[in-house]
Amino acid sequence: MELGQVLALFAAALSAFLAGMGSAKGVGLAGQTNAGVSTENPEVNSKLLVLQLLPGTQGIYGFLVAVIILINTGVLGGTMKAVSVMQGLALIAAVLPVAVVGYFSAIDQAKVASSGMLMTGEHPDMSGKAITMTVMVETYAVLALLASFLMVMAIQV
Amino acid sequence: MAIVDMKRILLAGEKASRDALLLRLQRMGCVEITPFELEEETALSTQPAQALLDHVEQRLTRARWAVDRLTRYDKTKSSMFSPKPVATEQQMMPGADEQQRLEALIDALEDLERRSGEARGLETRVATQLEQLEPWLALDISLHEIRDTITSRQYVGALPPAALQSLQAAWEGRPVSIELVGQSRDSALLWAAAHGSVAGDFADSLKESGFTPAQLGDFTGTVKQEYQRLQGERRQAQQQMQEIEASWGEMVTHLPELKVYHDALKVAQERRMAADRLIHTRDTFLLRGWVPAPVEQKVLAMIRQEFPGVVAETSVPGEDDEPPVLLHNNRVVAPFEAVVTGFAIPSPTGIDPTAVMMPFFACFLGMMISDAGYGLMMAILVPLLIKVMKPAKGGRKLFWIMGIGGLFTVFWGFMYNTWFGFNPLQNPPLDPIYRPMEVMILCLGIGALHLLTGVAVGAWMNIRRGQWLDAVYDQLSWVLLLAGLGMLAVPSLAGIGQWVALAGALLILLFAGRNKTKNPFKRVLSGLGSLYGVTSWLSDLLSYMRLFGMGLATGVIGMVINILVGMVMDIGPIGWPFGIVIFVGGHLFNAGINILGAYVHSCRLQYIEFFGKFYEEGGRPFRPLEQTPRYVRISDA
Repeated sequence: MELGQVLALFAAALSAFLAGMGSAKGVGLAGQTNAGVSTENPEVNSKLLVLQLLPGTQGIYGFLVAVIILINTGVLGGTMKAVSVMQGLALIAAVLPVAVVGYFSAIDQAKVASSGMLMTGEHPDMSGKAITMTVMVETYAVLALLASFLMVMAIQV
Repeated sequence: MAIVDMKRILLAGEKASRDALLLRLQRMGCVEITPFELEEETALSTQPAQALLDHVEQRLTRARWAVDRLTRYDKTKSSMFSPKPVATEQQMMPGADEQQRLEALIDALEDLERRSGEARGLETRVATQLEQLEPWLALDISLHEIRDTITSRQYVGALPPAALQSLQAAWEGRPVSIELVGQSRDSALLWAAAHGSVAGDFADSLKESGFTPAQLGDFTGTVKQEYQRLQGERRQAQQQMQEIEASWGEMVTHLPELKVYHDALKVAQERRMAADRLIHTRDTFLLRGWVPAPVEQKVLAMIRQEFPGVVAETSVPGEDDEPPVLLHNNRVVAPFEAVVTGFAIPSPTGIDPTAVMMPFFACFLGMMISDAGYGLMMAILVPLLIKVMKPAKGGRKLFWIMGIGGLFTVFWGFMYNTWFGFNPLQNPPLDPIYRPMEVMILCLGIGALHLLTGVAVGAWMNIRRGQWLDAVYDQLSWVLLLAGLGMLAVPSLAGIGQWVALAGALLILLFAGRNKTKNPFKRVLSGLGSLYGVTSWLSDLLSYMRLFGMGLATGVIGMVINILVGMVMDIGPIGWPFGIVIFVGGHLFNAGINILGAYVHSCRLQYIEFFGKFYEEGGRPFRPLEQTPRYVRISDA
């Protein structure tokens, strides 16, 4: 295996693991709050589950970019294509937005989700607002995904 | 598409017919009763109902407790999909005998609870005593024999193990006997006797070593005998607890009727609370409320026919009245009211945006779920689930949103060429992975349309109020500016575009601050501030990129699932069942997470981007006196 190919795999790994880690941390944090609020007010639990799930999407975005790299480099086709060192480095650059923004936005989103859960626990009819507040953070993860996606698609292997 | 017109309704009648009237109104469920604002010291007291209310309240609390308590023993699996049981109107109005029987039942349950508490208390107490006695089992002398004599003193208790040896050494050879009876976790247990002549010194010495006398209680016989007696008591208590548990299990058969009773009380309490809002004289009552204009005649006719002793009058709300807000839309649009009310109730002078919003919402849902297979499942399963589960009004709306969204998803799934993650067409109309630019431009285009629709609604609201100029300054100006900027991007239109944009910008610059200040300089400054708002339009527009991102995610994950399934299937027949499990489970997961995401993001695009352009919130929802049971559905029959 050549260095370029290793770099391409590294790019895919970076994208999947950083964003995935952020989401895991975020969903975990939100889950703890969910358990706490549900102890006090079990009836809102189903509303809180939605909030808990929201920081999970970043991990999906990271995974998605990783899969596209694997498809483009032929890994999922069975035989990996030749990748130059420069292409490999370019792929690493391309995944940075989704990896880094994904990691941090998932955690920040989880914090908003947690606060939203406390609000929903007190005022169950405000769950819609809590969700809207939480989704605000997600915008930047979506934009990062698009940036990474466009860059990855521009690197023809 | 509308906020329903509300009429004031005033009912006056003899007190005797009050309860029957309230019951009838509650069943119709279309009159909201507003409390009178009275000076505190007034003859028109609301007191008479209060006493009754407390009584119902108390019984309701008891019934709720009984239902909660018994539910713990309910073994029948209530599936998420099974509908609530049905209760008839008759069951909801239990007679005196029936009420007495049910109250007796709750008494029995309370008694059971008390006994179970007592048994538990006894068990705990005995267990503590046993724990205390346990280390002393080796003390094989009757406890009543351990007492002081004329010439000796006796001591039974615990000592830190380290202090034991020094104590023994210090008293070696003197008239003292120290016997180690046992070892507990962190102390040595000893039994000591001392001759009267040294008893004082020995007691001091014990104290210094950290001796604590044992609490063995006051009884005769050895520790062992006592221990066995207590064990017997504990067994008895445990057996009693088991019997009580069994009785709880038997009582579960009464759970369904208790649930109905609970709901009957809850409905009665709602009626009582409504009665509290009326004002009374000795023989009459006066009720004030709101009734939606479309059912006004129906209510009046019912009162004329069934309550000849009651006078009813309706009127148009006055200037300073603030009517409650009820949304009414046709059957296709109505489910989407849930999206609007999830944000805020529109102000009574504002508009109901549901109908304008609905096509966009469903379209966004489709673009973000974007798998025709999932859409097909939603469109087929939703009506079935509604038939099976019979959800309440609120839940039903959500179901229909998903059903209608499913149809749109089929369309967009076809456009994106995705069916359960497979891509059957060779040349799909849109290809988000390999021709992403087209899809992105489409998303931004739909976004621009959405935003401009919002502006148009804002303009329409101004025009409807006769504020034509406001519509020009606040809405048309922005449309000109944005359309002009848009035209700049097209070379052949750029020439006109710059003038159109300039005209818009000028309007904003000069008129955005018109209501804030008279000072022309400050006014232009305020206009500049508004003009800066053009950046927020850019971020609003960019926000629609999520339509692309979410759609892409569904497709790619679906594809990955299918690749995994393909790998497992290639193993041979052994892999087939695993392949099927991965296929079904994987796509269920993907559909679930994407439907949720699509719903949430569609809501956000409405709440932030769309409503931000025109929405006036601040209404109070219409809350008629109606039956809101918790555990049952009330049949119409």
